[in-house]
Amino acid sequence: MTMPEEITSQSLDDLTAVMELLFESGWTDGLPVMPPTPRNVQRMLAGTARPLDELIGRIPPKGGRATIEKIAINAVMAGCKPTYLPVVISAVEALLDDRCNTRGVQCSTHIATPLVIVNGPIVQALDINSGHNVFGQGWRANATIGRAVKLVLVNLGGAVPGVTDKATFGHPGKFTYCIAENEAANPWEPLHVERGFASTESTVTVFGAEAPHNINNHWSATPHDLLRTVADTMATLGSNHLYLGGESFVVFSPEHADVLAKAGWAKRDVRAFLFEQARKPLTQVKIGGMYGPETRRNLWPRWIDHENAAERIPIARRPEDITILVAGGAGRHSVYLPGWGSRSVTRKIEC
Amino acid sequence: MSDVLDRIHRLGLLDPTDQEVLQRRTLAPRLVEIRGKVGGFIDNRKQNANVLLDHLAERLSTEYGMAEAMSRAKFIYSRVAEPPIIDELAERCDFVVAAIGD
Repeated sequence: MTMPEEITSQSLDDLTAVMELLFESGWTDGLPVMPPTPRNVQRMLAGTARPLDELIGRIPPKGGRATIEKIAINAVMAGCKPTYLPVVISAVEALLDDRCNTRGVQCSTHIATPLVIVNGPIVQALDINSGHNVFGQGWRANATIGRAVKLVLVNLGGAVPGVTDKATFGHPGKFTYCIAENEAANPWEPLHVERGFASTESTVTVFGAEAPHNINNHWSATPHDLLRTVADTMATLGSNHLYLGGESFVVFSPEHADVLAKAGWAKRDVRAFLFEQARKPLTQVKIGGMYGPETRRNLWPRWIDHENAAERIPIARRPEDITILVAGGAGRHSVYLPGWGSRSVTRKIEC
Repeated sequence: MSDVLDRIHRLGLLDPTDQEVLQRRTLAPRLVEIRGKVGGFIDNRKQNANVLLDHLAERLSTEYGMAEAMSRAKFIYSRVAEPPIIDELAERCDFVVAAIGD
């Protein structure tokens, strides 16, 4: 790395001019990017043993070719360290799994954008934040890994806001959206272990998610009371899940998870409760939402009685569609992450 | 824009995009007329999509002489239509109305 005493005011001016040029190129997310010089990209590629011309896949909607080199170029621009590159590559691989429905997430009027969740020993090795302000700013790894994934999606996928990305609003996670699970404070098995990976393996999970919806409960000391607050936050008329089901995430803070685990509740107990309680009466569903009174176009399970005014509509077709994470710092908040036509996909991080 | 890209390339900076793909136009050739043609209509399952598309097919038939309408429904708007639907429409139709927005 160049020592500060070798940098002249002229070279700083040159750097500024390059950054302005990169703004004009349309290759940035609206924030400054690191210049993708051959030397910077070469340095980035040292983070992986994979050949630079290896094709990971074509990024929808336009189908740009995501080679290791192209991903590395975007990772440089995002500000990643070379050691982050395997996480970014594995996230891109996961996003190309059809279950994730990246094409739909990239183009919809809906607000969702891919969230990256990291598990395993790599979290500590790369200093990925899993604690206080986990969805917020302040950690280079979270900020730049999430940003690199988004730059890949836009630069190679061609998802241009207002042109091919038709999001009515979008949300701030479209700049960067990357967290780690707080495994040290998790009373249950972490997500990747639940999905069949060893605790010593590192994984990345991707999921098309809305912005976090806060669940504030400073009072409840029992699972039933606490989870009623969670369930009420999940079942809202404005949520796609009430009409279409699908997967969504509840991210418990360590303190909320502690209330549940100390009472002997396993993840499956929490899921069962939320599946039963995160519901809306049919009469309320008919007043608005996606389809109004015409409920037959909803993707509801067959057991729903469309003629029974007392029927209660669940936000998922089955308890397993509610995925549970533990993250964040001290404080009695949790968050709900509704999805949108997207299934989360977990992959081992290959270096 | 090409001036910007020229300046970037002259500096030796590497391109994070796939220009060959991004610049490709994907619009199908335009039809001169609808008369005698087979039209495909994909209901994306949004509210009233079927109502609007049925009405459109009816008018294209009565006012513009469309020969036949093939209507198919996707499982859900957020997903690409199933391959058998795309293959069938591609084989039999002269044009397809792929979806409606909200």
